[in-house]
Amino acid sequence: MRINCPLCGERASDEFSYLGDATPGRPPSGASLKEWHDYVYLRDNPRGPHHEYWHHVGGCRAWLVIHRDTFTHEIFDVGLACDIEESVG
Amino acid sequence: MSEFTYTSPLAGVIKPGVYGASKTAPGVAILETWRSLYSIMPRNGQQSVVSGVTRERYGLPLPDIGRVTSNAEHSMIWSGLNQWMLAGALNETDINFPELADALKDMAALVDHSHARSIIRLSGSQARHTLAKLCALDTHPRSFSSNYSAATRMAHISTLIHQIDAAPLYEIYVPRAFARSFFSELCEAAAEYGYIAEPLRRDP
Ligand SMILES: [Zn+2]
Repeated sequence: MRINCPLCGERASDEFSYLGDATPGRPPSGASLKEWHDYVYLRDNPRGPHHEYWHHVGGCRAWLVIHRDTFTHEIFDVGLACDIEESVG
Repeated sequence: MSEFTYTSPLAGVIKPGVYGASKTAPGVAILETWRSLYSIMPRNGQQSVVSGVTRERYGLPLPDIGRVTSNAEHSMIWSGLNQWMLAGALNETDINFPELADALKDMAALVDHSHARSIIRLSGSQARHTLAKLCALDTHPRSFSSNYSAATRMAHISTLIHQIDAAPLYEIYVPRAFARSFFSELCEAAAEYGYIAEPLRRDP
């Protein structure tokens, strides 16, 4: 599998390390214990399109958000996590 | 500018000489070198101000992604997300770190890497073929040439490559703790072409 890093271009996947699900949003301060429990521990395990955090650890060291299909391994989109976090707010 | 003396991690690893298949016409030269080296990471929104400071001091604005600005002695090498490496003259401690740190105060994070990296100069007619065995980077002149840089893995080690000349001449920055592993892998890759090896002549 190759990943098209927005900074470095297409690189072999062994230059990247996987962190996890990029969909959960951090609960607001004062959120209930149940909300925090869900955010910290509970993850879906979808068969299909998924947003994930990856780190280009063997290259530019940028954190990426990759939108890909966990079933076909097709990659739809790769973005810099810092840009995406900024646009989400 | 530093009270520390650089000690080569390759000291005693190899004697200067010609090795491998062709001793009469070696296709690769592997030279160890040293430069003072500083990482510069501009704070949010400060990139153009920092670029102005480095342009004024060294004639080197911060280059675009994957590029290098250089003059006869110094280079400013893009090395990662929002990070550049300022490399000093060959085998000289010629950058005044406290002065630069003062000039970039509150604008950027500046870290001394002079003793953290081992630098290998790779050249010769077969240098590209040697590199091809170590990394997946396309080093054909149509996609990589003078004043290009890339951060990539070689021999499972995170490296930074700077192409200095189209001849070609590359400099490869390797974390010094991995210098011996990288060096032996590089020599192995160059052996079929024959190679000149030259460890650091003197500690700067
Ligand atoms: Zn990258």
